[in-house]
Amino acid sequence: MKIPFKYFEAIEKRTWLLGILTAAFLSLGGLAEITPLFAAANSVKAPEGVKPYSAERLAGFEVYVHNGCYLCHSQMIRHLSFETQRYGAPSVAEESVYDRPMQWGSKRTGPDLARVGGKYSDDWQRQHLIDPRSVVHESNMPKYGWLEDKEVDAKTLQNRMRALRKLGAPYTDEEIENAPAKVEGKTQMDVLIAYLQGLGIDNKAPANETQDKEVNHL
Amino acid sequence: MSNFWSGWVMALVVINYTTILFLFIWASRVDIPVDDDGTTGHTWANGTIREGLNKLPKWWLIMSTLGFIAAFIYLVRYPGFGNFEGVTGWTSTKQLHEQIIDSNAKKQPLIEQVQSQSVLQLTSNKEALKVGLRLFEDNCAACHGYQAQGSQKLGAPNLTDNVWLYGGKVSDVMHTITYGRQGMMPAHSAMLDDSQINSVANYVVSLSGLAHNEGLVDKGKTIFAQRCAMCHSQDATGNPMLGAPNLTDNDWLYGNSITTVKESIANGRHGVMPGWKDRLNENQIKLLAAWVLSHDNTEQAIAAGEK
Repeated sequence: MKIPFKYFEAIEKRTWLLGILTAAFLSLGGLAEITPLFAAANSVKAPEGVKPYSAERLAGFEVYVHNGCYLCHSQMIRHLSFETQRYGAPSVAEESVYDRPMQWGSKRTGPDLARVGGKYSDDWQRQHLIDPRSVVHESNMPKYGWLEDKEVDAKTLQNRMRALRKLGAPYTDEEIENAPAKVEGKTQMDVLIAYLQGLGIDNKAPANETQDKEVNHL
Repeated sequence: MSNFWSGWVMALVVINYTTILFLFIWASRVDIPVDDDGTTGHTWANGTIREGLNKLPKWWLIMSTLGFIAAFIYLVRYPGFGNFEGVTGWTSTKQLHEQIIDSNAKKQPLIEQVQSQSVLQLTSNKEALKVGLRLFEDNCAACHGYQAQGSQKLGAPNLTDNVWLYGGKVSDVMHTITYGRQGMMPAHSAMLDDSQINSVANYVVSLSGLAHNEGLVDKGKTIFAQRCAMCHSQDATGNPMLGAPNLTDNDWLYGNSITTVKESIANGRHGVMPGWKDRLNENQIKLLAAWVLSHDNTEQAIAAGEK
């Protein structure tokens, strides 16, 4: 069966029509894959018991983002047994519901940090940030000792909490009021360690408790 | 995904797939008119470039056909077509579960050994120690070092000698790994002045036979008896119940210089060993204890009659 040339020609000779049809077909994939996620994102709710970051940890989160830790560290344990053996139960969306921006990351030069909280002592974290190679010989992480000389900016912290409240984090007026007192005299190093030490503990989804038993094997 | 979004995805997938399949077939059947010379008559650059009419390459047609087939098989077998789960019922969670079952099945003989043997028996079980080493490297080496030789920067003890802060019996080691330990040497800078601290430090290093100022030892000993003996005991041999180190054995958590010892006395020390019960299971903790105790350091365990 031969199909006449005229339909083909009609599209080929009208660049505006060719452009519109091309754009329409290229958008089909995006419409199918991306738009439902807008709806799905709104349906992810914080699991019971998971609260937004405390003022101190939120300041630490800011230090983490500010210094680009996500460029080398992911916070996303995938559903693969060699990952769960090393890092723990796989990450679920609920656990990062208060992360703005989310820190899942896609690059691991260093290890995943989704459940690093409590794995090391505060002293270790401090020593490791000051001089990573003094505790892990083969580490290629940069030194962050200068964080000890930088104070936390309490003013932006309050603004940040107000902005996050507009986006749905249930901060009370009192918490925002008290935020500067919570970080008073603390260095960026202190709050970063506080942030790291809560990862995977303060935001643990109850669904993962049951998974742990499965995942935690020899 | 709600029914609406499921339908949305299904509709788009169907439109996309069928339209492209239709175009694939249709475009190959269009009868494009040609001039006598076999070209379409379209010319560029004053006729030097003319548009010929060639068939699509065979490899391209084959690859495209395979693409259609692969996409169809994928949508039938795996989740992708809206809420349709695919005939295999595959999910990443199920896959992980299967991986774990598989990997545990492979390790079953070893798991049985770990469960049936005592920690001291495991210290000579090569297979078990291999897994113990892996666990140590993953979880403990960051503080205790890869050879378990400890780190004076962190006050992380050397695990390969026969010196134990909290006791070297199997039960002590298991308890330490499971629940962790919190060092609690208090700061004395508010109670003792610099010269008093200096005296105590000199007395303490003299106990290990290190260089010290002999003139300060007696004064230091008196202060030690009042302030330090409560935890470190009168003869300074320590108390494993409190994790108070033996100060007479020339084994140093934070270093043996008088400056370091003075620092410990003035500011206190709060070395923290994290507990691992939420991160590791009983078998894993047992393997770690066995690996640590495989360093020729079972004197206390054997003396206590553990087998």
